[in-house]
Amino acid sequence: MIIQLSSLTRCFGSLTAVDNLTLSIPEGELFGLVGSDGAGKTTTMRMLAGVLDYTSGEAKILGCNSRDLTVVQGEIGYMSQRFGLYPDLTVAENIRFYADLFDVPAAERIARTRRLLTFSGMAPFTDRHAGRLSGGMKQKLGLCCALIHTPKLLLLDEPTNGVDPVSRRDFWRILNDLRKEGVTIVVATAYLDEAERCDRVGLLHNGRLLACDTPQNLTKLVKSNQRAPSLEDVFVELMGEQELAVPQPSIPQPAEQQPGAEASSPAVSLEQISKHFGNFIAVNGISLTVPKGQIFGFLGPNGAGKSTTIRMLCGILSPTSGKGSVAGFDITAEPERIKENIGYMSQRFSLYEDLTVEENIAFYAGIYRLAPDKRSERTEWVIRMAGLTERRSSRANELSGGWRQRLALGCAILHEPSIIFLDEPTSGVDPLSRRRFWDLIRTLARGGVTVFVTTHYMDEAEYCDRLALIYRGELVAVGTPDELKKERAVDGVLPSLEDVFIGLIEEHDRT
Amino acid sequence: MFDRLKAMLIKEFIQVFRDPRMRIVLFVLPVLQTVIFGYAVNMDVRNIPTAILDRDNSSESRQLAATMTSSGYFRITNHISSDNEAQALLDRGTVRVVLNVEHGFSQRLQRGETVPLQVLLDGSDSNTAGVIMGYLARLTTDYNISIRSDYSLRHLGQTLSIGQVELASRAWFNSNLASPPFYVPAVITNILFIITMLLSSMAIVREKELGTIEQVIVTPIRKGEFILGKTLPFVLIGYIDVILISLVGMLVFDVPLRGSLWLLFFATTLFLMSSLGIGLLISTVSQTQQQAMMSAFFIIFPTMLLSGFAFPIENMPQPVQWLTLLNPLRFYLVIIRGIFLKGIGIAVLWQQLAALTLLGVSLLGIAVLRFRKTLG
Amino acid sequence: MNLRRLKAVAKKEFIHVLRDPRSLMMGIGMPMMLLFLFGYALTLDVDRVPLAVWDQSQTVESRELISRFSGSRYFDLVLTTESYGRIEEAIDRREALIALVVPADFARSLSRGKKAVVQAIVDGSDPTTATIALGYADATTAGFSGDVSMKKLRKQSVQSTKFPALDLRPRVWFNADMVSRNFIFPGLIAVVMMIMAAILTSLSMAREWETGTMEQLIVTPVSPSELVLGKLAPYFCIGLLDLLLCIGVGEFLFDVPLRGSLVLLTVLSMLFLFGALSFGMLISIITKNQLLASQLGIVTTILPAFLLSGFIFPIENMPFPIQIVTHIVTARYFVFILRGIYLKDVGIGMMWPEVLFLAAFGVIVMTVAIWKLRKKID
Repeated sequence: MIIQLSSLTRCFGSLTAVDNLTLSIPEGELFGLVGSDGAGKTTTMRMLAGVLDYTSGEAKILGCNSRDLTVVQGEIGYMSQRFGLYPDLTVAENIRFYADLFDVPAAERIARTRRLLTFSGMAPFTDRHAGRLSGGMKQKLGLCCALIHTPKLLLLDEPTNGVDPVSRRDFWRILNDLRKEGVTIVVATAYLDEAERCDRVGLLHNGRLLACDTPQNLTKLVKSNQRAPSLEDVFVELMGEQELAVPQPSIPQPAEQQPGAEASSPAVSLEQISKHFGNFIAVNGISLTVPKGQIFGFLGPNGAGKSTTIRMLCGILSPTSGKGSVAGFDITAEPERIKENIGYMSQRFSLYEDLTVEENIAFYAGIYRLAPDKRSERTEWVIRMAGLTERRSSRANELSGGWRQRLALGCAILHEPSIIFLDEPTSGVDPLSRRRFWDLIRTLARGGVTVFVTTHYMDEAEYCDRLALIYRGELVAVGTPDELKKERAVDGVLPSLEDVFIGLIEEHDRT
Repeated sequence: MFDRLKAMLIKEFIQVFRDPRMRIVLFVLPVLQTVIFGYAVNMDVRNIPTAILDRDNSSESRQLAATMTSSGYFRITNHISSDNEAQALLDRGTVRVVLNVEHGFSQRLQRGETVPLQVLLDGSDSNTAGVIMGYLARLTTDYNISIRSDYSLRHLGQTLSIGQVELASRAWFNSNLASPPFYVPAVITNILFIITMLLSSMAIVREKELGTIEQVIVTPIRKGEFILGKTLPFVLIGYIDVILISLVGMLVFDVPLRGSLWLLFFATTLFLMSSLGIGLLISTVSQTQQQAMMSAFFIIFPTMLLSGFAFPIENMPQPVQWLTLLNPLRFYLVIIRGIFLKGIGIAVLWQQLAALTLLGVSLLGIAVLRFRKTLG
Repeated sequence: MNLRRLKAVAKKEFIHVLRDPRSLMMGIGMPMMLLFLFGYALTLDVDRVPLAVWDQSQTVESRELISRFSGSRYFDLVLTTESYGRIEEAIDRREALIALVVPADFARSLSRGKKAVVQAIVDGSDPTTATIALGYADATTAGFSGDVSMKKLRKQSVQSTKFPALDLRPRVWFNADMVSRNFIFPGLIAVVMMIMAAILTSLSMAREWETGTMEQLIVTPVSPSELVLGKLAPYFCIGLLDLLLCIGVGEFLFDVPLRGSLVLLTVLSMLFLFGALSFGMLISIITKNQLLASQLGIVTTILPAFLLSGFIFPIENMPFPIQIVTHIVTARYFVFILRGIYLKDVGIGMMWPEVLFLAAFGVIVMTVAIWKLRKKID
């Protein structure tokens, strides 16, 4: 047995994050750990990696007590959720640093680096500073660093959050190769399609292991007589009981009509907008129109320029050239007017980690000047929407990744804006919450709110009214999901959105 | 109107005070610093450790030693018997002065001869050495006068009236030349400068480094509100520290506060404009807290050293003196010392106040103009 | 200890420093700036003290006394006046620092063999300068007084030849010209190195905690000692470079004589540097917060190095409790060692207790730092 856990428990104050976990993982297994937000996935992974001590029970990793893994540290690979890259080191230097720490022989290092860079599509960026990479690319670089040596045990904590589908596929190819070499892999993930590729899957909820079996056996747990139940159905079934009622959002007031902004004018319109960072062209002449009340999906691989475009729309980055307007206001001339009418949720968690949930909400309520009588109502609404009722006085840095995302979304729509920009709002959020998330988004849209969203989940892309695919800073395709599929239909069979996506990119590469 | 500012302030205060160690840093350390400054910084030279190499061993030589000790300036710590010992003591720094009384000292004095008194002096610390020389000269003169009148009484049988000049010194503003009244106001200026400038710039850059600024700048918050929200807490902490340090100075070190308290606060406000302006400017050119801290130190050291807090500006070369005209700390220091020690008011200090206003308005103005509510 | 890992950490840290122009500025520009400030701009030498005089006596004797003052290198006669008001004004405006008032009956008192009292008014707001200026005034007056009394004796006595006298023959060792720069400069090396070490290292570990890189680092096989020592390496190099720059500037620009052994100086400086860097690192490890580390760095290293090391303010003058505190200030020992080597050419035999302390300090602080660096995240 590579990992042997018996009655493993970890408490933080009065909170039991991991409760009586008993589990053993044999050599060569690919084990998936899934669970709702705050279920204890990260805490478990940290204890397995030996960076966090357990409160009681026992954990044996590679035959060693996990409280002191000094002897076997070189045999363990670990990728934390917020992979620590050095922003002032280049891509190659970051990889080299970890290779040296793990004593990877020079020849192996060179071969492996090349392979990792190719799979991740980062080969052209080896000399770029890590701080200048996009969020998804940082994640990929983190993976490369974690995979630079061949460990006996590889622990990956949500490694593909925010990674585009193409790279995710390549990433799993690498995991499969590693498994063939006999590496034991434990991966915590929010993507259930990924979990389905594992040998065994453990389902964590509130710190407890609810079920642990092969994906096939798990699907048999579904009582309803569906034909081919997926893991997601299992998940929903097992967790369903705990599901809290989704609070209905209050319907926001229609945006104030400003003189000059006609009622029929689009929520967002872009005309040949470009952004250059030095020699690097992040966004190259994009033109777009988004009518009011639409859910507009913005897709593209990591580093395609999605975040840059959103930041320009929000008025926090000024475009190099081109024109654009949001809510009827010019993005270069009147960014401050735009800010009064929009909500924005950035890709990177950007609430204050040293403030509690309530303090963060109160801060934004003050900044957005919510009327005092509305303040408590909206605060309660956000807390319930995010499912944080019990953790309202926890500090943000004590929250799990999925909870943080929910809190961030809550703060972004606290003031009921008429246009919302969401940059990968659901990365790392569990499937159930994602469903609720999208229910909420659709309700908002019905109430006339325009939603501009980026995502890497193709099932979410299906929910959008219209999609735009950008690649290397250029607009590749725009249309409704059905239109896009029909364009690439073969013999009347509609391809999946993922295939459309990959096909379009490959086509673009060829031209 | 003040909703956003209030939200910013609440958030800042929570962040600053959540860590109990930060509270210590902000309020206990300034007091501790004042106490150390008050006690440690003392140029008063007394009880100078002295060795005596007495080869004569007569009543005259012993009387000489007694005269030195009773003056209060010298303390005979070692009686030695060889030059080697003298060398070792001076090398080690155990004594600063070695008195060398040659054999035949008393006999030659009795014969009315002029006797050389060899004194070895450790000149490493040139200022202290200078002061010691002065003391020695004074003592020798006194000793000479007394032995001469003895001599004349014994040999000539008459009491001679010997004219002598005495220096009656009176120090204005600080009658017993105590260090604290001079240095405590300087501690106020230095701590105020460090806290408001360094901490406010680091607090702003911290938001950049941790990414939290991205969420804030997409809100309709105005530039001014953000800047005020980030800086006001440190202004407040600055004022509290000014009061704390003044209290410690007045209660523990008897530093007089002769002038107007209101003028003190007014001048402090003027000074804060400059120091916050510099802090803001630093934050506009820094991406990480480390960069901010280093830039701040690059400014703190010359600003403090060229403010006249320990090194008189009059002693500096002319070009450097001109340079100090750009130093807000210099003017603030003159004002605050003037208020504490001399009790002077606007009538005398108007030039400094005007200079401080000019510097403050321009530094803060440039900083606010340069501060952008955008990324990168 | 794995050399390759140590090298990897050191290399990464070197890149951080080299990529950040401000770190380099801090490491090299700052010491240079301090050297030049202290070398050219800042001086504690009290000479040419501006002097105001009100001679109420207007006699040969009074003029002789005044000429003794104005002829001395320490005083600069800037004002002769005939009113208190003018003196007051001159001192208020800092035109004059000291004022002498020679009484109307000065010559008469002297000729009658009485004590003549000359009044000295000094601006006490800067007690340091005032004390020194008064010391000079005292010595000048004493010299005059001695000569006057001698003359008087000669006039009165029948036997005109012999009178006993003590002739003061001071010999100044070590800094014979009594130039304050020679005294300040060696101490400055200690202060410069302390500042450099504290500022550069105190953030380095806290930063890794704050930006999240630490979690990843601690699951690699890198040991705490490799991490701490590797991180120290670049700063140690900068420190050595600073030392060489300091010695060079002292030798070629400021003419500060180095009497002792250069080798001994370098070796002992390395010892001090090691301790100072380890201490900065310890602060960083304990606080895990950059804002806090910066403040703690200032208070625990820079201020003591300035105030409690004897660099400018003599330790003997401090009250006893503070003197005890100075014993834990490493800069104190290093200042002592530097002055010993620079001014007195003393060898290790004379200062082994200080050397021993520096060595022990370095080893202990480093051990504590490594021990405190727990590879855990809580």
